[in-house]
Amino acid sequence: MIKFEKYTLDNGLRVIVHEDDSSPMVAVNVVYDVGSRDEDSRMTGFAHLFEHLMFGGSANAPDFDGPIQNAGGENNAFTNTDMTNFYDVVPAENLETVLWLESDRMKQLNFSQNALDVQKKVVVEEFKETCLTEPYGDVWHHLSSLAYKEHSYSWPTIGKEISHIEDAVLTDVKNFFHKHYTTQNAILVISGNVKVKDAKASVEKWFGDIPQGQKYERHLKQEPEQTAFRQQTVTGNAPIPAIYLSFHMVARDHEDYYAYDLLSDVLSNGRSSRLYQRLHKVNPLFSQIDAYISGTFDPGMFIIEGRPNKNVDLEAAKTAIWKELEILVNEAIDSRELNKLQNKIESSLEYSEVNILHKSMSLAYFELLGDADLINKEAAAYQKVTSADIQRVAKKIFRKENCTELTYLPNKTVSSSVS
Amino acid sequence: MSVDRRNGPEIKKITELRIPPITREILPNGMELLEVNMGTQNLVQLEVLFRGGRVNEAHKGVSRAVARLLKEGTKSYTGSELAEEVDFYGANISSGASLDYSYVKIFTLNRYFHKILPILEEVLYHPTFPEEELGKYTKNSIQKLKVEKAKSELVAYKAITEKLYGEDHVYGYNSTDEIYNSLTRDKLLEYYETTYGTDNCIIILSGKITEEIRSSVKKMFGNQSEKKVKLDYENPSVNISKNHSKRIKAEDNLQSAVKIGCRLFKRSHADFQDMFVLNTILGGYFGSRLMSSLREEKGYTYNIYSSIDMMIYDGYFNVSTEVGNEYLPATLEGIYEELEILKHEKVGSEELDMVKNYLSGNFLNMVDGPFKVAGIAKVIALNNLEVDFYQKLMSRIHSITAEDLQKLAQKYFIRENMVEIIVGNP
Repeated sequence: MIKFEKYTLDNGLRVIVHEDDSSPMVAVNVVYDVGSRDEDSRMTGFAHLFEHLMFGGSANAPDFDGPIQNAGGENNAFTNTDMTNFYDVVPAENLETVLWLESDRMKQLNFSQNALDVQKKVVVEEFKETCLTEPYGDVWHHLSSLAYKEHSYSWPTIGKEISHIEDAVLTDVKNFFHKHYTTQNAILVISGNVKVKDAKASVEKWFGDIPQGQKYERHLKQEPEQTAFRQQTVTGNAPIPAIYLSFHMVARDHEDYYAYDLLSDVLSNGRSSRLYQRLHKVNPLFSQIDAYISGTFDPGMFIIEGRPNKNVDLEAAKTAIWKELEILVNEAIDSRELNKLQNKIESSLEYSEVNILHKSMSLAYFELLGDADLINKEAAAYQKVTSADIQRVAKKIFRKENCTELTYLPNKTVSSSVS
Repeated sequence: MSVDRRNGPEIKKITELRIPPITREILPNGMELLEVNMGTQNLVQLEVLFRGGRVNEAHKGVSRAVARLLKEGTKSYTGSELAEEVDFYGANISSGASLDYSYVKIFTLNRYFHKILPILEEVLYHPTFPEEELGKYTKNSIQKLKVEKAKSELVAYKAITEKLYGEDHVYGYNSTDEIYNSLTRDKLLEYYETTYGTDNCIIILSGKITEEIRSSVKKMFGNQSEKKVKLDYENPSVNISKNHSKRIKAEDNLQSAVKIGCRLFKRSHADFQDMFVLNTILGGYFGSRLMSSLREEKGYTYNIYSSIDMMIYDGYFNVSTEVGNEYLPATLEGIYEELEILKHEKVGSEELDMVKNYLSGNFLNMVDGPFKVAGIAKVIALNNLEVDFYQKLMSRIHSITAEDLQKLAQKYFIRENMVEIIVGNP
């Protein structure tokens, strides 16, 4: 049970404070309600590029990182399809420094041509490093554009292509800031060695005078139901072939989300899970096999990913996966297996509360999803799931016409010459 | 009331490092038991370490194979049964071997600890190393190696360690298909018998420890009969070629992976503490010189850092990055330039203060929570360091001067000693 205090400033900023005096540190999260799903299809990757620009200095703090480091802290940020999250961890006595910096860039970020020019280059290198040089690095480009035809999940957060990043101009940066980086679209979470009363006073001091901006209203095209099997074979930097089977599932706030999550656990959580045991250990068709969900706010994907062993026929490997999915459609899991899933969930939820930064991030995440108190309702939501629920959701999504299949093949024989 | 934003709040300095208590006890059979009893969650971690990894291998590759196969079959369980039992209680078991030591670690809700401990006992003391599992391990490892060979950064890592220590040195050699194919059950058994003993064993128990958990751990491990295997390992001499640079072609790559470094020393060396600070300034944190200059100013790379990688018997320094091919020459020049600047100019007081403050906060974070403290206990125990090793490091960080750092840079950042690896399409 995580106790916290939640309130809203006059300018619309939502604030959450959680006390944990077992740590000498304090973690601060500032989440903005914007992700790559909010981008224009001609300017993909912009939300993430913008995250980089948030470190380019603000009206009264020309350098963001320096003061944090001076305060003995670390900071970073990430962007995904649904949100942009900035986080800082500092010794508790230096909380004020973080609030000064975070509030200053929320109030007035510097729009610097130089910062834009440099960060465009940095992000292009990030794109090359993570998507074009890394083996299988562009698989999300292929898979998301194949699975999503209408929704903006059809491109990955890093961006659809490098040119979109290169083409960004300073006007885009200003417009994006005023549209999305307002008090109304942000959530501030403070957790760690701090008293609620003190935190509240400091938050009012630094964030209270930020003018209220516009509330961004989201109107995204939703993905229509998939009605026919989709299939594609691509080649790229893949040392060994890989198979991806993706199925459309529900949104993160749907009541069946927990059943889907447990369904993916049946298949691949832990070394006793079905895919690991049956298709890797007992019948070693795959050198590696996983099942996981994207867990996105809008309806997401249930993905099975496997790398077949040498000399294994790819069609036979796919058939073997389908056979496991059909078993889940036709037979409810027994009570021991369900019990195992529940125990796994219990220990991972317990573990998720070890660290103040993790707790802080979860509070921000759930508040963005609709209610920070969901953090305390997760355990019960998982416990409520029955074998019948898991079978029902399996039946719902494991259908050929709901499947997007991607086969990733090597574009060359791997060789390296030494000079 | 309007707030004055122009000057940020006053920053409070962190000067003291309080490490939560780590208790230590030697069991009658010679095992060393360390305990970190703290934390708010109902979790326990138990890590069992054996001095002995690559350093005491009679056959290459055998230490990792043994560690991985411990849980793939024991006297009472098949690998599958064991995995099922551990997962059923929501627990986790992992095992592996590093260059210097082998480990088995369990992680569990503390109310199921009594269910998991007997499984750990099976894994540690009654493994069977089935032939069939070894076959699967070999096959899988060879597949994984294929994927690793396509990762430029990893190829560069393998190349630099090989260059620094030589291709036959335990810190230098790289796994190959042949090494995996040469593993046999007999070689595994022989390694197991000579490594998983009592006089080279360190047990680290951390989390919320009840009296019941503590006594069950003492009983289980205390009941193991004495088995002396302690090795007198000394880092063998390093034979490396005069040729310090290596370029590995990776066609079609838009980026080149770069590693530049030199051999250093182990943690107990007199220069370790100062090198720790010097490395931080150069490339050990986001505000470092390499990051500021090559990423934040010039935009050549997404990430560049330097590190001092420490093993038990030796250590090395290296700078690492992946850059667009068109920026490669300028990046190499930039890296060497930063090394030269540290030799020729004293670090300014503002920067030095920042690094001192940054590291102090970082240390505080390093002791936050039982599992992080267990990590510290592990470093201290494995390396036979004094218990106040980190406090001493902290106080050295506060007393070090710009002159000390410049002298150190002059001593170690010698271009002729640097090994340079480039993987890509230069």
